[in-house]
Amino acid sequence: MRFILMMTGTRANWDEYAKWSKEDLEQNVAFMRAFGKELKDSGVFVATEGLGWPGEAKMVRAGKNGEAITDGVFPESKEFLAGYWIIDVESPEQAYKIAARASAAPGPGGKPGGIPIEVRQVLSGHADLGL
Amino acid sequence: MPVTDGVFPESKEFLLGYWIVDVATPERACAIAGRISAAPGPGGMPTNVPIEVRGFASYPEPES
Repeated sequence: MRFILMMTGTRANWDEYAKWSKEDLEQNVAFMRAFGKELKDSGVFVATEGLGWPGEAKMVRAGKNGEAITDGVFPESKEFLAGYWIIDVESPEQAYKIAARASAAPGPGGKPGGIPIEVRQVLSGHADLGL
Repeated sequence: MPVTDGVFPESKEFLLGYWIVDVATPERACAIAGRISAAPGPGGMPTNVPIEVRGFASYPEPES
């Protein structure tokens, strides 16, 4: 079963992150690199990416002629995806355990961040929709 | 053990799916997003579903 583990945050969370000290950032990055290696070594790793700042996000809708309209405004409360991992595991419980590891990534002062990680199953294709 | 109580606010937007594209400009990414937003829905009418467009950060690759 494939699952996606998603880290999200509001603009306020991103603003706080921007104030982290160099040491705190380095510690967090070191954790993420080691965590990625751990996933690869245990054979569950599929993909991981980190996303750019919410200030550069655009919301696009198709106009009448199919043109891209990008005038969307995001509410303050919107949660932006910060990054994700896709893993291939045997059970949802295994995915939750791995999500908990990600949630324990060090934050300011090296303390576990406790960031909530949303866990969702990744569908294999249209067959999962009965098509 | 992790907490898995999974209570989400009614207003929460859930990710349905995504595409990753490698393009030269943000405008090109938005144009592609516009095509996706025009995908047909009920009665063949464009869904006009909003598509969020985000860049990738230069995030550390997992150690290999």
